[in-house]
Amino acid sequence: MSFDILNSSILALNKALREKKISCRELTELYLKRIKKYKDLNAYISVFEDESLKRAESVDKDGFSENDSVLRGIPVSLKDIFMFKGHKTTCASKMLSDHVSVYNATVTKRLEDKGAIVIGKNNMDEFAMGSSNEHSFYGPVLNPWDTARVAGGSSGGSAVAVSAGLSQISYGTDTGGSVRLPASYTSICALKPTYGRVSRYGVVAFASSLDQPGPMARNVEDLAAAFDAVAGHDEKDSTTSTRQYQSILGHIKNNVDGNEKKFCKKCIGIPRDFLKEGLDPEVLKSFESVVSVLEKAGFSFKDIKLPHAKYALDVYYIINTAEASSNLARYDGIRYGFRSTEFSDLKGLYSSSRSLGFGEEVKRRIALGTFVLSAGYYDAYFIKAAKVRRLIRRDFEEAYKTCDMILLPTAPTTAFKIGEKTSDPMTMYLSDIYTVPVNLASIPSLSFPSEFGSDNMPIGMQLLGRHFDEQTLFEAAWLLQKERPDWFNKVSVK
Amino acid sequence: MIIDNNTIKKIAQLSALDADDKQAELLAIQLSKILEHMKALDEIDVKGVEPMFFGCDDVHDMREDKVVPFDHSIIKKETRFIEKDLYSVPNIIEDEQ
Repeated sequence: MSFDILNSSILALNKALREKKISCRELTELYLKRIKKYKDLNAYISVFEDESLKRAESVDKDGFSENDSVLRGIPVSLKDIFMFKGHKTTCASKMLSDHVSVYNATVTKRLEDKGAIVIGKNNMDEFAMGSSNEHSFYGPVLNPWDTARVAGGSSGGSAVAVSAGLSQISYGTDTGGSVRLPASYTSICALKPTYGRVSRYGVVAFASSLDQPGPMARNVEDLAAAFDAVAGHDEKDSTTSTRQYQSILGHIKNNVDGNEKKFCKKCIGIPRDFLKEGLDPEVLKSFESVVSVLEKAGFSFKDIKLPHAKYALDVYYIINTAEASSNLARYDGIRYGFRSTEFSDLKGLYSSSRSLGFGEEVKRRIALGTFVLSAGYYDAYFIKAAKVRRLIRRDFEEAYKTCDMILLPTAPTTAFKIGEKTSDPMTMYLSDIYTVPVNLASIPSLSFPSEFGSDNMPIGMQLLGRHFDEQTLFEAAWLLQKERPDWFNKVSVK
Repeated sequence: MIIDNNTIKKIAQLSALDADDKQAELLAIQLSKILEHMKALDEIDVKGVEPMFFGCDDVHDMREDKVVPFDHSIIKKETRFIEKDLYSVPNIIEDEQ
């Protein structure tokens, strides 16, 4: 076998599989070998070696038909927050460390139906609460570009799996930046879809008005293929949109590829006032490089205002903690999950199980959420935040009257050192400054890699779009990839 | 500090979490720092603004309410604290003397 898998897109792999230049078993074996080789990165919580190989053999045996999905036979991984029937779903928490899924998440089901090989489930911040992937019951995920640094969170295991070539694509969830931040820290692409584009059925709930599953990949076409596979209405999640979804990969391949100039006329807004506090000068420099590349390609730029964006972080940490405190009330140690043995009565069973089953960050957020929802503080914090959220959304609606997309850095800095920010939660939260406005406004955002900083760590940028207009973001990202192929398709370890 | 230890203990009780004095003190310091940052919201006038509680404005698409068979024995395998097909918990009502 001499096929260069790690530098191949899903489409190239699909072609090779169909032409029998490589077998699905060989492809799966290669990824499984790499997972073993790089297990110290701690990207996986569980790996399904035997099962994956059996599924791969079944794909080889049954072959391919004309209408098969491009994901058929492609090894993928899932953040350990997606239910996968008969397999553990731990959410990287002691609370769910023995929990076996009794049903499939819609994302899982759609992947299985398309013949993708789910090779394992990725490490993450406990219950998706974190920006660094240091808050996991299974230990921190290491950044493959520098193992002394964080991978970013909360979908850090998924990002590292893709970046290090331990799966072709992965799926994470994004509540306040959780696919985009780790993508930025590890030099890959990630999409936070419009709220309601991808089903949340079978995804362990953190903050229900913000959570959204999203794909992660090493290049734009893989990201599009991964998004196509799971997007669209789901009757099991009433918050998914009934709007028709059209294949983005098909659009890129059939309409954009070769006709790039036609799609380079859109206007990109830049909120200069928002690019100040806490932004690393090297990230700003890279931001300007991206502007130059897009400008050269034919895009126009316009200064825009997002006057309430600077309040987004405060609004986010009121709303996400309030929703989390409510969602996580279900973990009481009775029907499933960790049950403590240190109690004397029913209330003691609840509090002891929760205190010993949850990690520190989760307990901190439950406490903060309970506080902002409690009598005497509800109006001052929760209602106020919900009103400012409306203003943040209006700012975007106003901005999109004059531009088609908005460009922002994904993170204010490159990946920081492990342990650097864990003792000060507020400092950690500031890492989310550029990602949380997107979730509050329910809009889509595509994060892509740009240059590396002087610390040899990746920098990422994001394009924000109108509601349900992921297509425009993909068009721009595709053009960027054509202009700067050196920014994409990087595998962090050999 | 915006939150003191007593408030933390009240919150802990509301959220069914244990917090001893040392934990309460640390949590009070951390949450106070976060709430201090949130004071920035005081400068915004939100008079007449409708709160936004949901992620989407689309009308929710409700499916038909129908019974789907499900094997409940799978769910019961999720805990070992089951007796006579019921979940076991500590006594809720004290025994009569």
